[in-house]
Amino acid sequence: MNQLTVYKKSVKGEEEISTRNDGLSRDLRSTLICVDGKSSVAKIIDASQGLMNVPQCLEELVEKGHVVVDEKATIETMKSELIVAAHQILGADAEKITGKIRCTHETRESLDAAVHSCKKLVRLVIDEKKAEALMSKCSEILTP
Amino acid sequence: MELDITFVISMASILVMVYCLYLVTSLKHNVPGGIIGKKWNFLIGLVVFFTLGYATLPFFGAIPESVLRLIVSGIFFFGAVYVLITVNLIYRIIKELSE
Repeated sequence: MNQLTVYKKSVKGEEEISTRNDGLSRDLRSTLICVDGKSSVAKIIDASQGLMNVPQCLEELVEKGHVVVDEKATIETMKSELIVAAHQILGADAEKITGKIRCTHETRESLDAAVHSCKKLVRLVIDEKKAEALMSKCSEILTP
Repeated sequence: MELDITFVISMASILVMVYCLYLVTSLKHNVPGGIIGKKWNFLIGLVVFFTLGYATLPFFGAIPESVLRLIVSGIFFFGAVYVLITVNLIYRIIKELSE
């Protein structure tokens, strides 16, 4: 499970919060409450303070249909992480590529294409080794 | 120094070369490194050399013939090197973008 994935409650999940019809365990219910369509898996894990196995709970909630992946929010989170990675690796030169990442459409394919395009630009005008480092970090961020 | 067509062309050449020098140096901060950046400093050096070489054009009449031949052959040689680097750079950019 990608730690940057953002989940949102489904209609069934919203109903479960108020009705408790499905009798979810305490961990599942706590995880369901934390899912807000904004927080990534990593944030929910931080918020849980190790009291429950968040990835496993999320997988169960997906299976039961209480939560679904919010693609748009996930892409936004990934974009932010990519921009942070670009600044860490390229320093001030990161501005040459961050615009490309920011303007990318809200799909994973567009984000992949933008990252490859950025890698080419970095290889051409910044540094070949940094391009490889950036690509490696971006692959980690984008791996499902 | 007569104001004939040769002088006018010489002055125009020097002005164009000075403009090239301005362009090549002002673009430097856009290409700090990488495949293009590595070659860019060398290209700047060549443009500086050409600008200095072109600046001697109005004084060609006063320069001894042996020195003149050396200057012209030097400009021809480094002109060829400049073209070689530029074509090679374009080839690498095309290769990089088409991968």
